[in-house]
Amino acid sequence: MRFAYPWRIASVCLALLLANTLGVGSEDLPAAAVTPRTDQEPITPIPPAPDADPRKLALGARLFNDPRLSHDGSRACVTCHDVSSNGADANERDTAMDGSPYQFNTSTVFNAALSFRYGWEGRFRTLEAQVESSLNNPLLMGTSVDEVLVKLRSDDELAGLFREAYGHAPDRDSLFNAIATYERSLLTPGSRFDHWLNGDVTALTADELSGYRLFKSLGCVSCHQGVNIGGNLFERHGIFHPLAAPKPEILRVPSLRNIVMTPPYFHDGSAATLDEAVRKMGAAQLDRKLSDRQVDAIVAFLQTLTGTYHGAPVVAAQP
Amino acid sequence: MRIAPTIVAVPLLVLLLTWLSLRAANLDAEQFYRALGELDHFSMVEAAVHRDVLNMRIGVLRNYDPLVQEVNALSTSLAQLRETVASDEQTVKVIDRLAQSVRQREALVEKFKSSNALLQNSLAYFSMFSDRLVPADQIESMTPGVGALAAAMLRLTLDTSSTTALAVEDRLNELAREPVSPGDAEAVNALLAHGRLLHDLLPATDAMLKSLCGAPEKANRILVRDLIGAHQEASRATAHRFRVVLYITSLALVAALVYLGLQLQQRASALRRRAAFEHVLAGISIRFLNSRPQHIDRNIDQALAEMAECVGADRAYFAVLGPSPCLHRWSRGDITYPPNWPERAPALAAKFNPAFEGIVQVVDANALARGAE
Repeated sequence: MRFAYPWRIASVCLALLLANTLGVGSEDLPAAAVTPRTDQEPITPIPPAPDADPRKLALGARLFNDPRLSHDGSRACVTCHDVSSNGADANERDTAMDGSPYQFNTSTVFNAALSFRYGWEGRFRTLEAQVESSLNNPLLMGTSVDEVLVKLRSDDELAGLFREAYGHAPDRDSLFNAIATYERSLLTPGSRFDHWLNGDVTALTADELSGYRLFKSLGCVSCHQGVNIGGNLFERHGIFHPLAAPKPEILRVPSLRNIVMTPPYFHDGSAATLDEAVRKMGAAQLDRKLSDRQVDAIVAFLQTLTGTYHGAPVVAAQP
Repeated sequence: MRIAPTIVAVPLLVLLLTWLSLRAANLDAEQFYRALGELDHFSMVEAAVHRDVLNMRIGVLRNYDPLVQEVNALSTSLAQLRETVASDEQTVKVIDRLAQSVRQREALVEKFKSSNALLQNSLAYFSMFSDRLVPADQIESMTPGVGALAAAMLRLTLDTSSTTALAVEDRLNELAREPVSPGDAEAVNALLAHGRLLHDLLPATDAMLKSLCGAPEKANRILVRDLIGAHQEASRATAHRFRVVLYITSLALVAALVYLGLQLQQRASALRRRAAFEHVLAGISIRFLNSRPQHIDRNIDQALAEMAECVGADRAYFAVLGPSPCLHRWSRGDITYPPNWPERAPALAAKFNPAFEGIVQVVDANALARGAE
């Protein structure tokens, strides 16, 4: 017996195979009141912040706001990472110490601890390493760890807080640990999407749920998955078409948590709006020209990813 | 009694026993168990990495977070293992080689994740566009090359050999040469773009999987286990030897204790006898001091009897030689005197050299010639 249309069988088999892996075709299912099966969803809810010594946490928060961590005292961590809004700022690219625009757009510090590497290029394996690099970077804080330690040790009150938290005067490890401990606490649980993942079927509207399904079926979820909806792998950008500044070619996939509140987008901050970013991503990474309806649906889903910090929703930074 | 040797000997003995006990206790055993446990944990995590890359490839695993945690756990496990065996330079060197291998593997895992993400995307799009070009209600595609490409691509998902990849490349080139209706042009172009990506990604990703699930770390892992095992065995053997030495030392100490106990008993007994004799002498002395001259002989007889009874003698004599000799004698119960005794006593005493103040000491009475008494 000879199959008259082997390509038809092949096409059906391939479609079945992919339906299993990516949920292709789920766009056609009814959208409302669907109970998620958390173990089958590629995204997981944000866990509670890890337990931490409150003295170290308070010290880290104080250091995060301390301009003495920059050489000329002109900026603190919070200058670019405003935790009262979105954990970043509204600038396309922040100004470096020499007055030039910095190479990268400032990423939000919210949920940064959930990523597997830190920085746009993912060069840092620990938050402590990133803190050290930021201090020593002449374009960012323009100081050195030793210079910062001299300043901190000369402050009796702060040195006392170090002794209370760590049992000794400020040193490299305790400085890095205090800031990293604080950064690990900067999680934003409580997004509507997390509520839905936790079983609240009313947390998402039908449009938002459709947007989530589209997000999966279009393949966005191939990279933007896991607890941080990204942040757990490296990927080349501009696979099919240019996306943004061509260098660096490989980036750590950014998290989409609170994405609506963290414009502008991409590593060079070249996409001013989320609509624009979604469209560009579709073309560059998926070779897909997304329709307005598709963009709206995906943005509707992305709007459900805004969490809360200290009980208040994360908001966009003011320009 | 000389106390100084005892003061020196006792602490030395305590130190010796403590040292022997510590060496016999095999205190390193815990360290080796921890190291082997950590190595088991490392193997488990490594197996989990293999499992999860395969699961990611087939789409069973929903995100990369478990893989990230496992890769981090590999490094953490090795760091702990290194810390546990830090004292052994040889094992540390092998662990460092293992760590280097883990770093290479981690880089491969990252490449796999990036490649697999693109692969999953392109597979989805390839399916979607081929479906669009070949609607289910149509028997034949408007673009015949689409079906042939889909069939070749399906084979490539199952077999990523160069032959199959070459077939896909041929189908891609054929489709690219086919005339396409304007309505299908966009879909065909997308199909070709994702098809070309898949043509590269499927074999490359499977090659990564093969490398990841290969066993270059196994040799180093086995070597670490063997080294730890050898050290553990040597530690056990040493501990066993020290247990034997400790046992022998304990036996020697028991023998010494028994000997000392017997010595002590003998000395105590001698002391008791001596005390009793001294007591008798004291009584005799007091009696002589209070005695009247006419009672001296009677008191001598009594003293002789008391002293002889005290030392357990059968017979006793008190002879005064000289110008006015006199002789006192005593015997236990009905024991008789040997012939010519006690008259021969002075002659016998004269045969010995008096040691001190005319006292004759016979160390071993049995050694005397028979009949000498």
